[in-house]
Amino acid sequence: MQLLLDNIASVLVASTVLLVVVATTLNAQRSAVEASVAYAAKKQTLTTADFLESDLLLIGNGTADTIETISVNDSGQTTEFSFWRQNGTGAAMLVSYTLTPSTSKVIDGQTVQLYQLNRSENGVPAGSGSSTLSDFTITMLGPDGSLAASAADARLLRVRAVNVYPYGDPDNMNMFRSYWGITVRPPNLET
Amino acid sequence: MMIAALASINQYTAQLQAYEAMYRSEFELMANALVLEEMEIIDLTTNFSALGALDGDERTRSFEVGSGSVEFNLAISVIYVDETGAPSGVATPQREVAIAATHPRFTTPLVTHKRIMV
Repeated sequence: MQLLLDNIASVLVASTVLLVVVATTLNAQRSAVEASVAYAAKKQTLTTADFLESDLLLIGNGTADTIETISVNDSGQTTEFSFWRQNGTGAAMLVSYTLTPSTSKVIDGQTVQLYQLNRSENGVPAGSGSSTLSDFTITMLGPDGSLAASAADARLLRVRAVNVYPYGDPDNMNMFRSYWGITVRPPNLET
Repeated sequence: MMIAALASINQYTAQLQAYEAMYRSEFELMANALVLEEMEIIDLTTNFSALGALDGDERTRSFEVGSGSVEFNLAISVIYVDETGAPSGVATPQREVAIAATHPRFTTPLVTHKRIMV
């Protein structure tokens, strides 16, 4: 009888230890996946941001005109932002950033509309950014940070973006949001 | 049993720290945007003689995107610096403006930017 009880107890202890170890391992794996997703989201956001920042600083560089168009949709997203700058040969070039709906995901029971940011030069596609943006706005500001009524009044450009990375089980998706923002002061807006 | 429990607690603690680091990096990016914007606004709107009045100033700014908004505290300091950028005890023709952003969730400043203004 004693032998039997000892065996049962040892099996129970071993099972508990095994359960804890398995749970810990699974948890570690999930954590590693989440960290990788967060890193990927951040890296993609920053790559797009770097390019966008250096592009915006060249607004009106070598050209008489600066900002051409800025359009906003009903949900406040900047759907088009175009401006003039010089190209590599010294000719004026119209650079346009357009935001187009890419897909929508249901995450935590909530539908999230995602957008793709496309870039074109004189109407010819010239690169595209993330296709998982949930928010993207470019706002023209005056020198005191207030909203500028027109391009002629703008001295600063405030850019805000949120890159969304869904991950996990399709039936039980989680969402990682990568935030980015900057305010640039293109030298050629100060004329 | 004890080793398994310790391993589990260790893993849980590491996971919490990883989440906290991820959150902090997001807050740093938001704070960075606000500090740089404030620096540009000060540069555009404040002349050299008025910079001194900003020393010790504290203000709040919000990072707004979509329907969300996160508020940060900005602390401004202004000191005279010499031609090498070193702090100077006497008045010089240039000042260093520093803006530090903090958030109640974190004990240390998230970002600090400095700019020499003349």
